[in-house]
Amino acid sequence: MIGIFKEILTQDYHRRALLALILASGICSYLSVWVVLRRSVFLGAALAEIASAGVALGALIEEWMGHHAENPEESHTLIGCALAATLLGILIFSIRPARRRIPEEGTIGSGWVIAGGFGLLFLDLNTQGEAHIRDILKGNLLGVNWHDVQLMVVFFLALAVVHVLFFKEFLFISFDPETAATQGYRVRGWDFLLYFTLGVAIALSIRFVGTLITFSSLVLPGVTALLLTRRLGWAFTLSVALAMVASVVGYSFLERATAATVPVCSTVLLLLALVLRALRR
Amino acid sequence: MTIHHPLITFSHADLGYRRPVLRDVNVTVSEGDFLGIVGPNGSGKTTLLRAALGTLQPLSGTVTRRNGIRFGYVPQRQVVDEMFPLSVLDIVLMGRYRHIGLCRRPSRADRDYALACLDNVGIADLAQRAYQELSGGQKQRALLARALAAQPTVLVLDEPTTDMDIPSERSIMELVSRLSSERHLTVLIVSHLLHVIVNYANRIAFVGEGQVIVQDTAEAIRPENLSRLYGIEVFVGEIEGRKFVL
Repeated sequence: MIGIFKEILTQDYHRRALLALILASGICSYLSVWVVLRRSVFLGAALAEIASAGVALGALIEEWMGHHAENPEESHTLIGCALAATLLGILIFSIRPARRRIPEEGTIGSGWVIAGGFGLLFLDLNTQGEAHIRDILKGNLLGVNWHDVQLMVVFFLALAVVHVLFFKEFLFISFDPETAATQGYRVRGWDFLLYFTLGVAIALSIRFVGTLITFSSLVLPGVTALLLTRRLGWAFTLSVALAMVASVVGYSFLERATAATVPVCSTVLLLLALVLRALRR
Repeated sequence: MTIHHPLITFSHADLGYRRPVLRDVNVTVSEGDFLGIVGPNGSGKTTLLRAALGTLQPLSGTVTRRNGIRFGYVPQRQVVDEMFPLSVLDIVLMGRYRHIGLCRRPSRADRDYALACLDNVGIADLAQRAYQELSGGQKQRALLARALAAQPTVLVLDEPTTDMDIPSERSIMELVSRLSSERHLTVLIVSHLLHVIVNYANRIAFVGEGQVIVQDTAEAIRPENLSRLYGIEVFVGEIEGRKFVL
């Protein structure tokens, strides 16, 4: 085990990959507490699918423009398309008529299916579609360069600042939107900002670590943490810590696909939490 | 003679969502009022309340609120999300958020104020307890403390005694009544149960069939008046100074 970590720490591409994984799973696991508490897991899945469609569109645009894969411009186009698609998704999902004819799940589910369909279509039109499907699902951690890591640090720091500054507003409008509105809070606006940060985190994470790790980090650490504690502050701390452990341990299985090992490690932690909870009763 | 200034004025207001639920509402809520809003389920009580709070705009007509008015709102406790792992103090502090302002965290003074509000409603000892673990009556008191933490001029309660046994129901209403007189609060309280508020409200707004009729309580609870409004025979009695409606 020590040998594996030595190898990871001495190889530059491993260091970049692990750092990208820790950054992505860290921010997603923090957001997972919001996602779970707000019962927005399905929304998270839909946004992940929409961001994936954005990445697929970005890859197609790059091919049309004749850019070679793996160059920095392509990375920007893919991230730009993922962000734009996610933002569009959030805008559509945030439209809330006073009286709905269709339940919210119907709108989100439609978005999920439509995004999935378009994503596949974009990949089908792309001559390197097969490789991109693999990248979107599993991510391309070993292809991450220091420029990508810097980009993630900048974006995720910005998200962290937004959450530090507006934590109490996010909490109030999530816990009791009706009362928050009576105190003058524009609940829709705050909702939008919270989901926007979620969208940015999802779009960036999917580009680098893929759909599976992103979505598992958006659900499992939050669920596990909420099983273990009755304090919100602890839930956020535990969720991030558990995701870090799952990332580091999951990545250490160098012979296996990280996209599989990280969610499996998160699942093991969830099972341990369930056992702990059962023992405490 | 005390002059009671109007705080909230409904003038020919049609209220609803796309289509009016209540038409031509003309109601004035003045300082010191204890207004009970009663009516059957689905009659538009909450719609009237939302319009008073400013979270629902009238479809036509106007609803004006005096400048500087602050609401302390106690929602139906069933709508508060119990999934959140929050302590009672965390929840009461939410009432301070507007005073604290953006990008700032609650100070020691805010915590002390929240604790004083908890003390005011008789559950200071539960400050660190998880909200999820409280009984129905304790939850209602916690939400009431949060409303007080907002330093309101108007206390607004939506069905505060739903699903409560009679002693808890009476204890909550006594508490609201005490707080309103101690803190000189104007109170708007919604209930589908007339007997819950007849002993406390000085005026009653009957909501039903798209209309709002406001009367002084003494006038409102005359049996012939209630029989006409509800379309059934109603009996109003009094035992040991407390009115009841059958």
